[in-house]
Amino acid sequence: MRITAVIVPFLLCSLSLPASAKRVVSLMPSYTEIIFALGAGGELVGVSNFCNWPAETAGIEKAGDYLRPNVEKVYALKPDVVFAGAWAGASSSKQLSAMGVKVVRLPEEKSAADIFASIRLIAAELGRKAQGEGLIRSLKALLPAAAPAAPVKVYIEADSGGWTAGGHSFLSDAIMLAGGKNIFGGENRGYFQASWEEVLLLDPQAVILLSGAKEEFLARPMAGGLAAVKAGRIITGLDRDAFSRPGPRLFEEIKKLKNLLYAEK
Amino acid sequence: MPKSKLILLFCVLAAACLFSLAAGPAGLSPDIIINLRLPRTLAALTVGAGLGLAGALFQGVLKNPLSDPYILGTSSGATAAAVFCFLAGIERTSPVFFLAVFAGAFGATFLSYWLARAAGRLSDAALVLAGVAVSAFLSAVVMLTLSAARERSFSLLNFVLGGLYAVEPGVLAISGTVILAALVFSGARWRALDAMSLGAEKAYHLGADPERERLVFFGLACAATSAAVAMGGTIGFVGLMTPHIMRRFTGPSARVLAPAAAIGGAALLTAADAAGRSMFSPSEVPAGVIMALAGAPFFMWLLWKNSRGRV
Repeated sequence: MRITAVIVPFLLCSLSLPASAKRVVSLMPSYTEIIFALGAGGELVGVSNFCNWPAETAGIEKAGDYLRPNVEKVYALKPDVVFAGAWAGASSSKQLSAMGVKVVRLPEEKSAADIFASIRLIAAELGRKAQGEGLIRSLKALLPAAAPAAPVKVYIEADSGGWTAGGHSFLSDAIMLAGGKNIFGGENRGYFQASWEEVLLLDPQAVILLSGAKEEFLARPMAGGLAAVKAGRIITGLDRDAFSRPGPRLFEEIKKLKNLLYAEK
Repeated sequence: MPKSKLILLFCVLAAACLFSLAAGPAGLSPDIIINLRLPRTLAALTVGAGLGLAGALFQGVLKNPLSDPYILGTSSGATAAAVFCFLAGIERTSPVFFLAVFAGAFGATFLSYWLARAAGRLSDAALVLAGVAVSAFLSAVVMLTLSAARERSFSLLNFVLGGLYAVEPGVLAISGTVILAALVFSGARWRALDAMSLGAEKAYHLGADPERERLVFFGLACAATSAAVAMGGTIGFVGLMTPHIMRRFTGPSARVLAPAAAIGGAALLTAADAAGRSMFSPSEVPAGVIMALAGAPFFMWLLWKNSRGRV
C-alpha cells in the first residue's frame, strides 16, 4: 500500500513530464541555436563543426559538418535523436537509421514560416511543445508590425563574387519582413551567382554585404552609380552567422535591418 | 601565314569582342558597354592571350602536344600560391603577390617536368601523368586550406573556380604588362623555340642550349600563366586548345604560332566569358566552367587522335 502510494504518483509524473534528459545531436547550427533557445541545450551531446553559438557549444563534441556528418562519431555519442538538415546526405541518414539511431531530417527553411515549423518539429521531438510556442510568440513579437507601402529595393550579397539569394531562400523573406524587397526575390531558386550587370540594371536602393567587403564592392565597375551607394546605404553591420542561419537569432537581425533600412538620414 | 588566314583570325577576334561588348541583360546601353563590358572584355582578352601563349610555349619547348598550363600543374601551382597570399593578407596588386604566384607556377611546372624525366624517357604520357599528380596534390592542398579557412572559404572557392567577375584595374594593368612582355620576349626567341620543338639533341646541333632554353621558355610560360591566374583564377583548356587550332592555320613555326595562339586564346576566352555571363541571366556561369565544358571533350579527342599516332 505504501509502495503503491509512492510509485503511482511517480509513474504519473513520468508520463506527463517530458522524456527527461534525452541525448541529442544537432547537425546544423540553426538547430543547435533553436535547441538552446528552447532551453534544451543541456541535452546536446553532439553538434556540427560549424556550431559556434552560444558559447556553450565550444564544450560539446563536434560530429562533422552538415553536409558530411561523421557517422561513426554520431553513433558513438549514442544519441536518442539526431536532427539533420535536408542538406545532409541521405546516405548518412540511412546509415544511422540502419544502426538504430533515430534521425529527424527537417526540410530546408525557405521562409520565416518554415523556421517556425522547424522550431515546432524540434520542440515536439524534445517534448517541449509549450516552450516551442512561447519561442515562436517571442520571435513574432520582434517582427515589424506592418509592411511599408513602398519597400526598399535590396540586393543581398552573401559572399563576394555576386553570390546572392533568390526567392527560395529564407533570406528573401527576412528582407521582406524588414520592410525591403529582394531584387532577385522573383527568382525561383535558393542561392546563385548573379551577374553584376543585372545588379546594375535592377539598381537596388540598399545593399547588404554579409561578407563585409565594402571597399571591394565599391571598386566594382559603375558601383558608384547605384542608388544604394549614392544614398550611402551599404549595410555591413549585420551579424553574418545570425543573418545567414534560419534560427532564432535571425529575428533580432531582421529588426536591426529594419532600423538600418529606415534610419533617418 | 597567308594574308587571308591572318584576316580571318582577326575577324574571329573582332567577332568575339563584339559579342562580349554587346551581350548582356542591359542591351546596348553605352554606359554599361564602356564602364562594365569593356573592362571585362579587356580582362578576358588578357587572360586568354596569356593562357594561349603559355600553351604554345609549353607545347613547343616540351615537344608535347598534350601540354598546357592546366595539365602540367602550372595553374594549380599559381592558384595554390594565390590562395596562400589571400590568407596571408597580401593584396592582389602587390608585387609580392605576383612573385609568389610566379614561384608557385614555376615550382609546380618544374616538379612535373622533373618527375616525368625521372620516370625515364620524357614521353608525352609521362609528362601528362606527372602533371596530373602534381595538380591533384596542389588541388588537395587548396581544398584543405579552404576547409580550414571557414570565413572566407566561399570567396576563395570562387577564385579557384576561375572567372572574371569583378576585375580590379590595377591587376589588369600588371597582368596585361606581364603577358605582353612574355609575348614580346618569346617573339624575339622564336628560332630557339623552333629548334627546341625538334627535340633537345637537334636543338643542340642547331646552336641552342637546350637546358637554358627550357628554363627561359618555362619562365616565360609560367609568367604568362601566373599573370592570367592572378586575374582569372584557374581556367583550363585555353592553353591546350588554341595552339592546336592555330597550328592548322599557321603551321608549326613559333614565329607565327605563338602570337597566333595568344590572339586565338584571347578570342576563345572572351567568347566563353561573354556566353557565361549572358546566356544564363540573371545568374552567371564562370568562364572556367564554360571552358572546361568545351575543352575537356577536346582533350579526349586529342588523346584519341594521339593514340592513333596522328598528332
